[in-house]
Amino acid sequence: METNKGTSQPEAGGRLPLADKIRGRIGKIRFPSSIQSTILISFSVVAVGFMLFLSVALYQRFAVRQVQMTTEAAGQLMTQATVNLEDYLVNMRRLSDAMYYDVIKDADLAGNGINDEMNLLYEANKDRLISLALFKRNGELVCAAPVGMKKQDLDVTDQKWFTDALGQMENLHFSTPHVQNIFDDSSFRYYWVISLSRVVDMADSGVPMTGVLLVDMNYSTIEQMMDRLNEVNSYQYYYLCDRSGEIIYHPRLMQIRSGNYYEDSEQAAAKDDGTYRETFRGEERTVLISTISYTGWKLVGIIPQNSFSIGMRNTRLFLVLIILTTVLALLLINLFVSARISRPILRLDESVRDTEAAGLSVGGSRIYIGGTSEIEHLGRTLKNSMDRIGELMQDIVREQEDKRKSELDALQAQINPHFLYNTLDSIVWMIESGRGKDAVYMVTQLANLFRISLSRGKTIISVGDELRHAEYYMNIQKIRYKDSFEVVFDVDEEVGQYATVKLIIQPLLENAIYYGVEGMDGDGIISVSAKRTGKDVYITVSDNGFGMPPETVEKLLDEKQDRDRPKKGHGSGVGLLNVHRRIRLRFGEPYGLEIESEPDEGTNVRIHLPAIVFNEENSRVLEEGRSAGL
Amino acid sequence: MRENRAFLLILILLTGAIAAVSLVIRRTSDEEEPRHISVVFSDSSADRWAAFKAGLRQGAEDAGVDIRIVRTGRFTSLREEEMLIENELASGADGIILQPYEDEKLWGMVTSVNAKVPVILTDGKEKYDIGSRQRLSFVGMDNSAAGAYLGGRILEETGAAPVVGVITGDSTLAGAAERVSALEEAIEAGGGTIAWVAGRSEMESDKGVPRDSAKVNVIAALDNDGLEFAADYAGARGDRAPAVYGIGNSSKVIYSLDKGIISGILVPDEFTMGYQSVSKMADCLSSGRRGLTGAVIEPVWVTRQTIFSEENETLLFPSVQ
Repeated sequence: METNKGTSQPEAGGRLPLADKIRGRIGKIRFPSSIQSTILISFSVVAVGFMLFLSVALYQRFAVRQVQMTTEAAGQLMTQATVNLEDYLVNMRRLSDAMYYDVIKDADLAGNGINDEMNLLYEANKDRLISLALFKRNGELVCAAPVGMKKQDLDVTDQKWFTDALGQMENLHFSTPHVQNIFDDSSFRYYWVISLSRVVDMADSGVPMTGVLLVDMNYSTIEQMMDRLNEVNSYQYYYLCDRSGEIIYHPRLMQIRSGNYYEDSEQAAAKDDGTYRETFRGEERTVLISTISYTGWKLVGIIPQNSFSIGMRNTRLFLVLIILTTVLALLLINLFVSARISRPILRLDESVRDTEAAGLSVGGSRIYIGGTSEIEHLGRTLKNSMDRIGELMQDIVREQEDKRKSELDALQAQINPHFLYNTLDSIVWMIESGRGKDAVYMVTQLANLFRISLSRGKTIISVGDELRHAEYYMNIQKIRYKDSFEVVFDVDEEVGQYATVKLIIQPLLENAIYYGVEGMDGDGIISVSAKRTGKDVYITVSDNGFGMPPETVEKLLDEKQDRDRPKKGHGSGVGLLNVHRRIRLRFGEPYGLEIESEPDEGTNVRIHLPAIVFNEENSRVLEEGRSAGL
Repeated sequence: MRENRAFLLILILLTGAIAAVSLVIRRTSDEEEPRHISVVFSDSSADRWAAFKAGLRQGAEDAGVDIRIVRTGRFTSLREEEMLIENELASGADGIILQPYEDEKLWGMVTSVNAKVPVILTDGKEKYDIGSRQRLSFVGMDNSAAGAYLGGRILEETGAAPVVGVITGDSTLAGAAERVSALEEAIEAGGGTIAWVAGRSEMESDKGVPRDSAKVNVIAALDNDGLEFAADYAGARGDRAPAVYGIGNSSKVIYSLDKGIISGILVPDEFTMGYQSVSKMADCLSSGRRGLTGAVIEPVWVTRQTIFSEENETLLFPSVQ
């Protein structure tokens, strides 16, 4: 069994393999048919594809770079803020050190020196300070600057800054922001402070004791520093928390305290310095962490991921606009370029089609020559070829025409020799027998006959001349045959004005004599009739001779039979087929001879011609072998 | 021919897409112009509004809108408030946050304004039938609940059937009456007695209000002004003063609480009130078709012992001094 190796066989269950499916799909795609569409689509697909690829790649690169730059800028801001915060806190620490080591440590509470020195220090730093205060270990206020009255019934020993100081006596302690709750201010003012507290050694009337030195820093100083940091960008923000994650500053502190906002400060406080990516409450964000020296506080920068996209939204829209505009421009340019390339080819193609429609004989005169040098060369070459083909075609036509004319001339030339020989022989016989008058008549008829036969070399003559030619011929033949048959002419005068090929009746009369009435001893009758019927002219030559069987009649106008038929000695050797072919060659297939014959009854041969008026113009056209337009 | 049609279709689609993107870019640029929200409330420069104003500003910053707090004195008539609102509308306000003046005709004014822009009321929830209106809502404290809560606290703190003198404060503001009636109901239901009720006009005159103060062991003041007034009175009476409770949040009120002159205060969370008002208004304005939603803000009970607690510090001292 033969297997089709060219195509895959369907799998069991009638499912086609994937490769066949793909091939089938591709096969169904209709590719553009015109050269312009092919160029346009190819150029456009390549250009747009390349541009899209480039745009996406550049955008990705740009987006990544922007994230990097934003993160780096935030990092630089944080570094600067960290330096500023550390600077501020170091100053506060130095202030506390100065108060302790330069004043408290060497002074005695019994004197007034501490108050003065404390006031001096406060005055020098009051922009950044709310108060300085010294407490004994039992919470009793020793002195404060500015001078203030401690609230009644207030026990500071349970306040956090105090317990922190005593908890780790060797350290300085920075508290988280809180409202100061020490002094009674009758102007109803309350201050947010950050307390810097430490245990100090002092002496009261020479008795050593410990106490707590409190430096209440103005929280607004840190708040202003952080506010300035947060003014830089509306999407990213920075906050400050202590080492346990308790928030010191946050731009949305109120919302956080009221439960309208959330911050993951404990996680941030637990991390080392650096940059992290995290997801908090479903939001992706970049977190930058920087630790403040001396305090363990963490400065945290938050860059929400969507802040990049918010910033990029307009950029993306502009990019899309530029891409769309560029694609539109590319398509229009490609349209122009493809039209420019294809137009000469299309014009060349159109001119070739025109030439094909008009026929090869017109040559390459209609071939388009223009466009690019290659197309111009192609057009020129094609034109030359077409011109050459046209010339060859005309040569062939001319040769065919010449050949046909030669054939006609040859057919006509076949009439003359035999008849002339017999006629001249009769004239000689008349003269020898002293019948001079008859000889003169005979010569006169012969001269008329030849005048019409020659017709100054024309092939086309009027039917009238042709009938007269037949009369002259029959007058000569009747003398030769000693009036052994009768000749009758029945002609409508009208038909004499029409055109015909010359010498077409005489061969029929010759046949009627030789094969019809010769030997009938005076009973033979040959009649010639001519009439017009519609657009046709009919000339009939009839005889009442021996006639022919039908099978003979059928063979008379058969070309093949004629070639195979042996030539006989009778007549001029010009047969019916000769006349039939000449008429058809000149007037076309519908015309020619029609033969009817019955044995012992006689024969009718009818000449069928078109009714074309014989004049100079028609005669010229027919002579050139063109009868179609008449 | 078929290819030409397809190409023409692509050109038309591209041109359409370019036009659409251009329109989006233009609209995006237009959207950068922030919406303006005007806030009208009585005596706007008073210290007691610090938390409310902080909430308004923070809300505006977060929502990306412009906030305009109209500078006002104490409202003396409905016409005064009407003129302020008309000015704001003429200045191009896209939304109004309003503390309504107590007047029967106010509702007509509110609905008239509401026909033009969305309105949020911060008082008078019980008085006005907001219903399910799309562009009118309420963000504020439930006055009836606040009056009832204060009454309950007084009963709880005093431990016996108290004789209470009530200072209503500024009764020209919507919602004052609801606080009074709810307080009275709660005190009387708990076995206490309302000895007298004094209004703003009596406070401002020298009629010796609180009258017969010796008969009362508790004074309940139902707004910040009334509570300051009561604190002054109690401070002057020293140890013989009745216990003072009330609703308020000014620095003077807090100081009096800190000094022990006032025994307990119900503090409206005005930061949240301001923040939520602006957020909800901005949400309504940005969404276009979305309705305006409201919120009831719960007050916080503060005593002398809890003033400086971490939870209350931010509420009582919202701005850095």
